[in-house]
Amino acid sequence: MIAGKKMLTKKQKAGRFLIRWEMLLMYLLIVLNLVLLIMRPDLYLKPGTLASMIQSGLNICPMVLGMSLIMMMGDVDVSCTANMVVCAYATGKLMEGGIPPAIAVPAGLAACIVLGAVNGFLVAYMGMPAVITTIATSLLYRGMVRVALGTNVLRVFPDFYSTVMWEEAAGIPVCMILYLLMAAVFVVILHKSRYGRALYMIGNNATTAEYSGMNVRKIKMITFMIMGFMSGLASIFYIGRLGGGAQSATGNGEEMTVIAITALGGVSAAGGSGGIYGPVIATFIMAVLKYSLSLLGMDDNGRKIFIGIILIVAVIVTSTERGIIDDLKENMRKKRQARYKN
Amino acid sequence: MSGYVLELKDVVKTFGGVTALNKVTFRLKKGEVHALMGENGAGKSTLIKTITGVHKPDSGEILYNGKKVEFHSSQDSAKIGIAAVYQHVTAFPTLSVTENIFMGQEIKKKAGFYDWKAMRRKAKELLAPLNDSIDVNIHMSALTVAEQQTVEIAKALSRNLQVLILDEPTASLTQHECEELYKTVGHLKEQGVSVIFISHRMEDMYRVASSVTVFRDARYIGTWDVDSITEKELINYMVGRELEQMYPERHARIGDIKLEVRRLTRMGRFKDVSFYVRSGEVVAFTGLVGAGRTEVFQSIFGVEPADEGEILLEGEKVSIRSPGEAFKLGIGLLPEDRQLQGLVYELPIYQNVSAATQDKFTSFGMMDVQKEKDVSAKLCSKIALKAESIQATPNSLSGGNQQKVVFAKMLNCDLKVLILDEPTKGVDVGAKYSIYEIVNQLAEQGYAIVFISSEMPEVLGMADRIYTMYNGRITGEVHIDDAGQELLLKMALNKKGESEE
Amino acid sequence: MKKRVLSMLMVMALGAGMLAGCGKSGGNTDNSGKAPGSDNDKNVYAIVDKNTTEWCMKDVHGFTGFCEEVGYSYKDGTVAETSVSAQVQAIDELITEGVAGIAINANGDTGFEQILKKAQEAGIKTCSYDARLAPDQRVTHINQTTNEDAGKYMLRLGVLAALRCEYDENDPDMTATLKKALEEYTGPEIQLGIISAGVDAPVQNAWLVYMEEELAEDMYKGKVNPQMDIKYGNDDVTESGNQASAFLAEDKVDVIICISGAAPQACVSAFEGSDTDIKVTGCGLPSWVVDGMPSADEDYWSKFIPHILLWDLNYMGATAAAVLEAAVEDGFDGSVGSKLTIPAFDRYEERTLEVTECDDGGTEVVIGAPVVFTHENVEEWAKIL
Repeated sequence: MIAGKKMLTKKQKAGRFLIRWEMLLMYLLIVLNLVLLIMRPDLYLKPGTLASMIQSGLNICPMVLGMSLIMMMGDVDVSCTANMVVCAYATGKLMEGGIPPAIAVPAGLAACIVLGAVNGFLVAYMGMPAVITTIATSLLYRGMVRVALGTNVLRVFPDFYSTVMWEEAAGIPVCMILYLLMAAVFVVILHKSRYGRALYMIGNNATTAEYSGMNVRKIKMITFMIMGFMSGLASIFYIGRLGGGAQSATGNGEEMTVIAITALGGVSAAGGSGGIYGPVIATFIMAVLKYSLSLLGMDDNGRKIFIGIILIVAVIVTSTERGIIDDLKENMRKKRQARYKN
Repeated sequence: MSGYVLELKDVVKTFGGVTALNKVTFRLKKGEVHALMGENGAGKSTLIKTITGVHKPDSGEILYNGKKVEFHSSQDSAKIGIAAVYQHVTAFPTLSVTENIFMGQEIKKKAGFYDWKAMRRKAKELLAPLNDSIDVNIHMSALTVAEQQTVEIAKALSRNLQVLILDEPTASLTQHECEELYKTVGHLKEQGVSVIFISHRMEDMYRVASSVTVFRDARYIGTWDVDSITEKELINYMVGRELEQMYPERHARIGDIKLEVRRLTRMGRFKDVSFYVRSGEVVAFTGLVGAGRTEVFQSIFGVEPADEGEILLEGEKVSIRSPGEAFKLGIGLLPEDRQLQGLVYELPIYQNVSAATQDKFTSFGMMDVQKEKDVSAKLCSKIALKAESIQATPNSLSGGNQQKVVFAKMLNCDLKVLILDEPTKGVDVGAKYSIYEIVNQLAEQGYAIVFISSEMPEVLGMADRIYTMYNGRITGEVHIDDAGQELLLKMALNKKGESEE
Repeated sequence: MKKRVLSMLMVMALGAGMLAGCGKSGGNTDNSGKAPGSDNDKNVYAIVDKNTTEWCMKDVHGFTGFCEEVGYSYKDGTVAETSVSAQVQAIDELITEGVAGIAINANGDTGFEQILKKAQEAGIKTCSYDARLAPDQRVTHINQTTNEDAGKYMLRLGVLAALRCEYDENDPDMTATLKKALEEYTGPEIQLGIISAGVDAPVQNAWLVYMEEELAEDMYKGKVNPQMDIKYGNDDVTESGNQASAFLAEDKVDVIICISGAAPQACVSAFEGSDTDIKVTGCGLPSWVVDGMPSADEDYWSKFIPHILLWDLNYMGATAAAVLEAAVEDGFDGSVGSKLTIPAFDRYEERTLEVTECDDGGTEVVIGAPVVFTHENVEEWAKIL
């Protein structure tokens, strides 16, 4: 058998678990809540505040899930919000024309999958770098909507859009329930399925993946199509929050938030590391953070600077091979040893 | 002091689990041309990189003109006059000869602008004694390999050259160009430059060098005067150990032809390659690095399909457009570069082992991790893999064991033909034997095995038949009984008198 | 190793930043104020403008200055991002904080339904100003001037500029001056250019309608092209600058009428160093355009902005505050015919305004006619606005 298998004691295993990145994120989330609770208990404990915080930050949540898969491969999709706008356009325009939601909504989603496939084709089969390509398609997709829509704003959307973002079920915001359900599906996809395993391989070493017989291109294509679909789903959340009202500029800039949240969640921009749990927690962190900073009185610019710093730190720490905690422990051990010697 | 311009004492350098330099010594006298010989993987290139400062030794000293030196980067070595010209020219192809020579050390006018006139003049001066037909204004890419090399040497000369290292300079040169190179080396010697000349060719050594040092298996074997050692003795030192005890016995029954390749061609890489491999047979492909062997098999494996030619598997013509198709047909490849192509270091061993056969462990799209681990464990014990646990990642393993993981990956598949590209590269001696045993077992089970290797002894110890390649073509086929080291070397170095196409 | 040290330092900076940020809430008087002597946390009135540019801040300062002086507690919830979703977010936070009233200058007319519904359910009164919003949910809308006046005045200023005819103070709505000048004009057809805000900006589009209506009048026939060359600058200085440069390059218009706040400033930069004949007018903040206009002793036509108009942004902000307070405290419901009294403050006297019908189905209060700036008074006004 395999020689010398070292087993970790239960305690060691628990210790390692508690310092995982995802747990650090949980701590951060808890700390944020505590800070707000202590500084403004009147607001924190007021009914509806927590729900408002969550609802304000979940308008882009489906894209975070999709982006986790994309970044896992080492790519990125900057065109996600543009894609979302196209879906909104398709659905809105159809509904304006009297077509029922049952057809309009899937039509919009189908459009998004197609756009995702375009991205996938360019990146996977033409070999173009993902960043530049998706920036270009972002302009393209938005431009298409701008040309088609012109000066107008689409106003007719299914009612359930607003329900998702503004209502609660048993005290929990509907959007949160849906998000956690979708996240569960993605956990299975990424962590358990063969496709998910392929993503990890490709993200770490696409050459080896290819030499192992994987069809790297097909898998990338599929991922971009999934991202397209999630961008379409996001339109439900995003427009729901706005209460209906889509134009070509809607959501511009949010793609950065999505990427930031995914990076904060521990999915390395180079690919190959991270999971779904991290970005999900990070979504809530971002929601609470943005909201609390405002409630605590920080002005708009201060908030932006603050969140920017957080993201830089997150990216640095996750890109240094996740070993920062071990590194610290190693340093402390060395110092202790040095002290003994002297 | 001791009269040596460069001296290395007890230098050790390891990478991961692999020792590349094992307490080596090297001494270069001032003004001499010193040949450095040894098989691939013997440690020559690591030595060179240590001398030029690319690698920092783990222990040991480097003395330059008697004084201890430490290099933190290749700039440090360049500053004191050490330069290297490699087989694969690293110049800037789109820039001119002058620009390349003066890259990083441009002559400036008083106002701070570049003085191209002065630079061009100096470039011409530097090149004149070496090769006066090179136009200093044309792009590097317009020059032949030999001319590019000369420019590189001129560049080295422009920086107060004391020690010049030439790494396999004759590998891609015609006979005529080699003569020019020998003249250049002579010129350098007159200038007082000390030269380290790495080559596989005896002729090079006899023509220019006065001493020769042999490295083998990361160790320094010895230094001799070129006049006082015969070619046979030299080869023996290079190859060294008693062949018979190094290689396990094999009792495989050779059966039908499993893989046949006819006139396979890929533009710019290889041409008219034809060969066959039978079940139970170990067919070796040897030649110098860059001869085109890896490219041929990458084409067969589907990574970069060939332009012309036929591949027949068990008598039937097949078309292989991707590694996935290759695996499906039963052809596997153990890649040359396991770091880049063979393993994913961030994932656990058992995931690497199942990488090529994931469908075996998939049900309804989900991976059966327990089954994966069980099968991996079985395979790994079969090949005597020494690892902490199959949940560890491969970077905790030694080179030999890492290679075994890639083997396990192949064994997981149902293969008919297994292509091994330099399977013992970066593997220490002990593990090599273990790998040879695995290869023999596979042959005995009926696999048709292609064994690509640049190490002559290994080829001689393991193969049933040997093909040699040079410059993208097959230059010879010989049965093991008829083969000997010298014959192989000659075939591998097979040069036609005319220039290549 | 260095990377890790650096990241630890940043984590500490993060921690410090958090503490600093939390500390801000205590003594922050920048965007919220409790009037001295008033009850704590009683009836805070909030304002959410389009963005935090100088122009919009004029409204906000009017609001906050008024509240300070008169003794109301206030909060400024304006954010820098010029989008509907950012405003929705800001309003959401204000609702959570429990303000009593919110004045909104919206970046778009759709997207607010849900959030305003939430505000209504929380018992918060809302009103809109500058950009109209939610006729059914708001108390009333504060309009700096009627859209008709704004549109037509700007158009007339444009034609005056093209005709090189000075603005006559004695003829404030310019009709008489224009009629005479147009009759005498015998040159080629005048082409008007427009730099508007966003493609769907409700206010600007309303103005454009009135401008077209004005152009249909007899006196313009044959003299001024009824088709205006409209370009969109999205209320963004850079974008408006691009449009201004486009006009300069095309050189087909005689005058550019800026109907978006960012446009005149953009024109000032775009026109710098150019010796074009094209004049610029429309609406603009005096302090921004003062460089493009002649000073009191220079010739009327010596710079490329001969005259320009605006309304009192300060007062508009103040009126918004007054509306909120009246709605919360006095039961003011913004119905047609009801009256609103704005107390005296700063340099203004007390005024009473009457609520009228608004085109969008709701009601509005109009502050007055626009003010025209020429070289005579622009420097004075530049100090205030």
